[in-house]
Amino acid sequence: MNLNEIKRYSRQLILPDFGTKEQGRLKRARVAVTGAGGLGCPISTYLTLAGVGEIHIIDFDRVELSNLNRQFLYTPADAGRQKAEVAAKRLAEINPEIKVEGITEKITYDNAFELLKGYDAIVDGTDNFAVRYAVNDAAVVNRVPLFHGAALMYEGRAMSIIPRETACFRCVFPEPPPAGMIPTCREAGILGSVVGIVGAIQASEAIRYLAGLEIGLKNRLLIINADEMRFEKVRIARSSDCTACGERFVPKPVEEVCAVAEEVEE
Amino acid sequence: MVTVRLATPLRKFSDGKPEIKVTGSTIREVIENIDRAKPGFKERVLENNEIKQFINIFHNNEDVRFKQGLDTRVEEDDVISILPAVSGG
Repeated sequence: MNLNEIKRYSRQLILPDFGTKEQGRLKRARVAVTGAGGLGCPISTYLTLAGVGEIHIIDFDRVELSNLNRQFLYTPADAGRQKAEVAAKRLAEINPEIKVEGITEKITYDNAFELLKGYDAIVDGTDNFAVRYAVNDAAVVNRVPLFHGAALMYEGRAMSIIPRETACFRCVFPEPPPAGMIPTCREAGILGSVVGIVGAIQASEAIRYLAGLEIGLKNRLLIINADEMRFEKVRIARSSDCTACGERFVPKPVEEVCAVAEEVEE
Repeated sequence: MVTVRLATPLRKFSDGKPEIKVTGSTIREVIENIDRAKPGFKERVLENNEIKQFINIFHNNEDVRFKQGLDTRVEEDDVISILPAVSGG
């Protein structure tokens, strides 16, 4: 570690369970952040600040003004630009000690397994079921730990998936809501601070895991209701029938539909 | 009475409230009793008398799939959470 790094990370280096060994593990880590939106912004920012050595931000979208209530890596001047590029540039400015790369690519079930290979962790901040199941299945098959988070209105969810050891997203929700049940495609609404909470939780889990420390969301689903500010942790378990991490992997691409579950549409 | 906590996408069945008090001695009875007050609930949560694949039900923070499913017995003051998958981000 150079002097700048020692100064930059001094507040975490003095944590009782966190030292130069743990910081070194972060520095050697290669992490993919899928999605550079409401979750992707806090996730990638905290990974950057903590000193994760190599961060790849994968998103194919462009910045829109309607992103700006929550996606704090962008300014109005970025409207129309590729999110992955803008985010990577900003994060590299925030921490010049690490490598940040923006990958402008749409994640699909066809490319996810190749795209998400060889990482030490994936932190998922995508926004629809098709991509989420692709990311889950790819992470599990490639045996890359996956830090899941999702949000809707004032509700957030988070879980940490260690492939073949803990429950994956498909163990808990084997199938997405059927596409035909969604009458129209429109947003249910989200508050920036709520995705901020969820993204920060995903980042905390990923950082502790990469540093070699214990984490709290293995085989647990955290449910956050920010309207009551209620946090609940429920117990989940691997399912032997799981098509992703069960006895036999069965590819199950999910049809691309709207980000909003059917119930919200009424 | 048991407390039933409904995730955001299901709160039209609780007049927007995060939790409601319901009677019933099994998960199935509780769902039927909610459906009686708010028709359409059962159809939203169950398919062919099974919990839908994108819905999860937790009884006192334990997934009922690993208990007795819909026949899991519930007692006074128990908490049931009903959660559909969400994907926003």
